[in-house]
Amino acid sequence: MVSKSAHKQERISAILNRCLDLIESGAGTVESVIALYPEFGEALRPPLEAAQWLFNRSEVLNPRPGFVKLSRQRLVDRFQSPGSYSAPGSLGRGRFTSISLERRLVIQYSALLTLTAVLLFVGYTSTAFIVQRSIPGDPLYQLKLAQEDYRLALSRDDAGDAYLRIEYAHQRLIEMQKLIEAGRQIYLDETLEDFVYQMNAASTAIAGVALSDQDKASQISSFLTATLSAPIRSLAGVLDVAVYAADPAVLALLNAFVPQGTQPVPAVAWVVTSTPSPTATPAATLTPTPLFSFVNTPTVAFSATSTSTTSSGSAAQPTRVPSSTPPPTQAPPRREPTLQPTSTPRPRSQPTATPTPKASDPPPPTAAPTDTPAPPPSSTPQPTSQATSTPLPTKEPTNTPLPTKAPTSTPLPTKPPTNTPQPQPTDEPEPTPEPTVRNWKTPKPTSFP
Amino acid sequence: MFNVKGCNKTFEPSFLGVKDMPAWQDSEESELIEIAKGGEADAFGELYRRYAKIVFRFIYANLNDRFDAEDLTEEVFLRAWRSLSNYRQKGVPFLAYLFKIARNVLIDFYRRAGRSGGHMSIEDKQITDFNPDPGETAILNIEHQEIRNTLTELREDYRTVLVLRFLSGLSPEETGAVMGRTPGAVRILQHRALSALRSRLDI
Repeated sequence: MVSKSAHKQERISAILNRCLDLIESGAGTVESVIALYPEFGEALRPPLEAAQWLFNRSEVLNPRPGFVKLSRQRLVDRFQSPGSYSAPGSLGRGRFTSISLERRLVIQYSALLTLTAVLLFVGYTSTAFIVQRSIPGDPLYQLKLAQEDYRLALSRDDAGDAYLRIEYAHQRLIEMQKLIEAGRQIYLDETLEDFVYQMNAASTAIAGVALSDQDKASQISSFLTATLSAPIRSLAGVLDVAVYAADPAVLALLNAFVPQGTQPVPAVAWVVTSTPSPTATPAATLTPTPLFSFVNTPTVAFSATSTSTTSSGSAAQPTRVPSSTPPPTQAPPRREPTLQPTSTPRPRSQPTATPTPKASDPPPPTAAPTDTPAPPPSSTPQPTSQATSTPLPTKEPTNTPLPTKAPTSTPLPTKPPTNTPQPQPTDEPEPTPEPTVRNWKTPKPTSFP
Repeated sequence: MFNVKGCNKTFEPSFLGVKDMPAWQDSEESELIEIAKGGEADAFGELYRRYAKIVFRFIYANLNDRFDAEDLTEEVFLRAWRSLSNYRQKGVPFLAYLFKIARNVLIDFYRRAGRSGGHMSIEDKQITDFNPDPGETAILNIEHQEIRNTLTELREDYRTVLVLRFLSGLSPEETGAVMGRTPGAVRILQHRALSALRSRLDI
């Protein structure tokens, strides 16, 4: 039933199409073609009338006269103008299709390998760069130290160790500079401690080299001087503090290998001193103020000022070079200021044993300066840790002129020491805590002999 | 004398800057397509001359504005020129190929119009209606709107088959190629579409 109806529908559609062809070609009208198929007249009339309605209005949809001609010329000109529209055969999309599949795979594989290599290289170099620039407190700093230990393990002789130790000491100096700039002073102690450790280790290594090759040891010593002088001076400029003596043993050892006529090894040393609180010391304004200091903690300062040892380095005895500009607040009142050690900055070859007050046994604050035997000019602090505790804190009267930065300008006391006015309770500074003696020079197991 | 690849005709060379225009109108469609594929814009221009009017009717039957229809007609042939290297003559007829592009162009136009609101401003209508013979233009616009309104009431496939068959003048075979139907299916579809159209006409 359905197929019969569909067949009839299809037949009527075919007849309708023939009628439309006749009407479209002008060979007939609606009435004339219906007359050809009278049995389908009722079915053909509505669609034929609708088609006739459309035929009659097709002209309405024609473009404006002349549009096709002008538009054609416009298009052809655009096709022929260079750069506007490329020729059909030169489309960009088809450019890559001319390459064979094998060659395309090779190109893609090579590009992938190149990209991977570039990414690995960039990742490694950037990580190494970040590690190398890390400072104490950074997450990658421990990796930097581990890297240093690894390089040391690969070193096969003392000379290699010495060069590496010098490099690491140089790194510590740079790190200290960066720590100060970054305001992270809390890491200065351990960094300085490691610097001392590296210096001692370098000395040990140089001594080992000297046993077999004096020239080589001298060469390494010169390298040490050239490497560390500049950063030490730079750091000392930042700190702007007094000059301290070098570790005499280290200094003598290093200078022992410096050739005649060359610059001696700079005196690099650290003295642990106590820095009184500025509020407790009224004369603090006269004191050269370091850029950083630890309140109630020792201030570690050093200078790159080259301090000449004895004329012949080989004969130098391990002596502590007296500080040329000791912190005024740390200097005890001296009965004979003319005998201050700054007047004779060069150490004597034969230091005399002078009783030095120990840090653990400070004199009472009321002790008159006369009771404290001032060290004679020739007295040189012993190269022991006790020397660092020499500047004992005393309750100095506030109106007592304190020595300025240059000890030579320290005004002499005009009154007998016994007449030294006692500090008023309101002016009495708080007792400076006992200086915490940090054994900076205490080397790690690999300290110099 | 030279031969153009894919073309049996022989052309005279250019002489003294005067280019000899070959008699493109005598060429077969397949010849013109092959020559145009070689970059000969004039051959494609002949194809444009033959089919631009048909394409325009199809587009204008789906738009309200004549100038938009003219622009879109050019756009159809521009796209055809740019993708001519992908055209295979053994596939669909070239006219069906053009109408497929035309349908895509119309879809893109509707999308753009939809994003911009889909309505013409009063100023645009006034500019569109400006003509040296406003009376004739008004009549044409009224008849055009009558066709548009009537066709809009029909289904999309009815509207398409009527426009292609009776306004653009495509054969059932060409219409089937454009619409993706067999010629028999097109004949049945046009029968139903005409019946539906007749029921909406007051004649």
